[in-house]
Amino acid sequence: MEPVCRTFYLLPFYLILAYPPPLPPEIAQACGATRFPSSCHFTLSQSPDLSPTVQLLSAAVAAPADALHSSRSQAESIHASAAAARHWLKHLSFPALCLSAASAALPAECRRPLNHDQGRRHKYFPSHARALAAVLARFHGKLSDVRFFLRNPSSLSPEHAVLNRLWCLFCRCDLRELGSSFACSNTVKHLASSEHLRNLKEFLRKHGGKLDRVDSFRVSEAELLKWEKGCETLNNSTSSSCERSIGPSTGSSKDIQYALTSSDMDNFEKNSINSFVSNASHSVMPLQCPTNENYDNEHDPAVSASNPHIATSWSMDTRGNIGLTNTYVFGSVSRHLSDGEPSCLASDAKSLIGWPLSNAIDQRTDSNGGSNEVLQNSMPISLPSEACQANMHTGAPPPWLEISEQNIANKDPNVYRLAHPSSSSGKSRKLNPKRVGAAWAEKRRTELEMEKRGKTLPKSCDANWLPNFGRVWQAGTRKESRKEFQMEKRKLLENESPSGFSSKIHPYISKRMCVGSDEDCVHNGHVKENRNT
Amino acid sequence: MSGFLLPTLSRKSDVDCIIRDTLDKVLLLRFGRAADPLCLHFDEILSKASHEVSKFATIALVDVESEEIQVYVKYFDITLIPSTVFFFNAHHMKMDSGTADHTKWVGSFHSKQDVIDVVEAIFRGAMKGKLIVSCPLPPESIPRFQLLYKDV
Repeated sequence: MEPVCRTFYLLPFYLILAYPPPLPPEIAQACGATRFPSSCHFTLSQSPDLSPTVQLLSAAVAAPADALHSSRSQAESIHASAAAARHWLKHLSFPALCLSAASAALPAECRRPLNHDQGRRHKYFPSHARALAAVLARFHGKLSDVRFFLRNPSSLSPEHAVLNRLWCLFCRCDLRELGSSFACSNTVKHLASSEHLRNLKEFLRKHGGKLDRVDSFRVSEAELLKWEKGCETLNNSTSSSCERSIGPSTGSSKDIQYALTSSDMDNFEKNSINSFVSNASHSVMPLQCPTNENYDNEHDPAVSASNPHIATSWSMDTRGNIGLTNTYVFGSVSRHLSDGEPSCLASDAKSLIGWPLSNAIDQRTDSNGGSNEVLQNSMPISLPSEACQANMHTGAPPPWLEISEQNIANKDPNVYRLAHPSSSSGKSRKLNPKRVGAAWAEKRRTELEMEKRGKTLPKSCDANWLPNFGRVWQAGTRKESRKEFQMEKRKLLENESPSGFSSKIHPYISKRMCVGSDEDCVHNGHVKENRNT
Repeated sequence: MSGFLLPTLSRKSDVDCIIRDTLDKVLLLRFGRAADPLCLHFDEILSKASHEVSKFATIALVDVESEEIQVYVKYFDITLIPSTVFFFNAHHMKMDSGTADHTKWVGSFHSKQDVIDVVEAIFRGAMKGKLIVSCPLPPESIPRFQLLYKDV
C-alpha cells in the first residue's frame, strides 16, 4: 500500500468521493485517480470482494498518466504550428492587399486577364501586354457599334432601350439607355464627358497602355456636335413626317441619306434658296443642289418666275426624280447633283424614281403653314407617261446593255462578246487564244449565238463543204490538199457524166512532138482539154 | 449496245455539223461498220471511255457503208476499218504513233484508258496550238498495219 500512497501523493489529482458506502481511504484515493472516480468508487463498493490489488490500482492510474504525456506533447505541437500559421498569414496579407487593390481598380469582367501578383512592374510583362491588348480590343469592338450609331443617329424604341447596355471599362460604370430616345445616347454622352477622358487616361497610365489610343476610346467634341445635329434633324423629321413615307421608313439608322444630309447642310446654307428657307419649316428639306433645268411647270408658270430658286430646287426632273431630302430615297440624287451637274440623275430613257411629287406633298403634314404654302406655290409636276418606263425595279436591262444590243444589231462581234458574257464566251476568254482553231471557234460561237436568238444568217456551209485535212499522199498545206481533192472530185463527176468525155487515157505528148504528127496533136489537144477542165 | 450511247452518223450533213459545231473539244470520228466485230469491240471501248472524256472530247461513229459518207472516206483516205480521225475546232489533228499514217488512228484500242490517254494528248496539244502530237501509248499498244498506195 505504501508505494500506492506515494503515487497518489505525487499525482496532483483531486479525489472526489461521490457516493458513500464507506471504503478504505486507500481505495478511495485510488478511485479518485481515475477518470470517473464516482463510478469507480461505486463499482468497488458494490463488489463483494473488495480486494484491490496493486495491479488494479496501477492499471487504473497508468492509462491516464500515459495519455497525459501524449496529449501534452500534442498540445505543444499544435501551439507551435499555430505560431507558424500566424507567421504565414502575416506574409500572405501583403499580396492579398495588392490583389484587392488591383481588382478594385478593374471591373469584374476584366479582372481575370489582368490579375497579377507581381507588383507594378507587371505592366511591362508580355503576358500583361497581351491581356491588356485583348481587353482593349474587346472594348473597342463594342465601341464600334456605338460609333455606328454616332455616325447615323437613330431613334430608340423603349422596348429596345432596356436591352442596350455597355460597361465602361475605364470608368467602371454600367451605361444604360433607359429613358433615352436615341440609340446609344447615354453612351455617347458618357464617352464625350471629361470624366471618362480622365478615367481613360488614368487607366492607360496605370496599365501600360499607349496614350495615343485615347481618341479611339472616346467621342470628340466635333463628333458629339455632329451627332447632336443629327438627332435634332431626326427629331424634326420624325415630328413632321406622316405615317406613310416615300421610300424607306423614317428614322432608319442605316439610310445613307442622313449622312449626306448632315454633310450637305453647309452646302444647303450656301445655296441661294433664301426664300424657301424663310418660308419653309425644317420639316421640308429641298434639294441642296440645282437639278435639271428642264423644269416643266405646267400648272403655274409664275412660280418659276417668282421663286426661281424654289423652282430650281424642287425641280425635279420631269422624268421623275423628286427632290425631297427628307425622303431617304433621294440621298443619292442629292449626292450626284451636288457635283454641280444640272442634268437629271435618271437616264435619258428611264427615270430613276417615279413617284410623283403630288403624292409626296399629300403625305407631308402641315406642321408649318408657310412650308405648305411654298409647296403649293411650287406646283406638283405631273410626270409624263414615259417617266414610267421600265427600270431596274421592273427588271429591265440597264442602258449599257441596250447599247450593246444595238451594236449586236450592227454585227459588232467584240461588243457583243463583251456585252453578253455568256458561259461559252466566258469560257473562250479563259482558253488559250493560241489554241488550234481559236478564230474559228470564236466565229462559230458567235454564229451559234445569233442563230439561237433567231436571227437568220447566210448559210455558210454548203453541201460540198469539207474541213481542211492533211491527206496521206499529198504534200503541201491542208488547204491545198482540200482543193486538190475537190478538183479530183469534180473531175470524177465530169468523167461519169455522159458529156462526151472520153475516159481513155492518152500518154502525154509535148508540143514539139506534136508539130510532127497531126494525130498526136489531136490527142494532145484532147488531153489538154481534159486538163483544163 | 456498243454504240448505244454514241451517235452514229450516216449523212454528210451530220458529219459536217458535228465537225463545225464541236468547239474547244476534241472530236473523235470512228469510221467503221456496225457489224464488224473489231468495230464492235472498238465501239464498246469508246462508249466506256466517252463519259471520262466528255468534258474535253466528243465521240461519234460514222458508218462507212453510207453513200453520203463516201466522200469523206475518200477525202480522209480511209482504207482500213476501224479508222479514227481527230478534229479540234474543225481542224484536223494528226498524231505520230510511229506508223506510216499520221492522219488517223487505224485499228482499235486495247482499253478505254488508251483512248483517254490519246484523247488527252490530242487535247493538250491542240490547246497549245499544235496540229500534230506524239502518241502517248507504248509501241505494243499501237496496232500495226501496212499502208499501200493505190493497191501498189
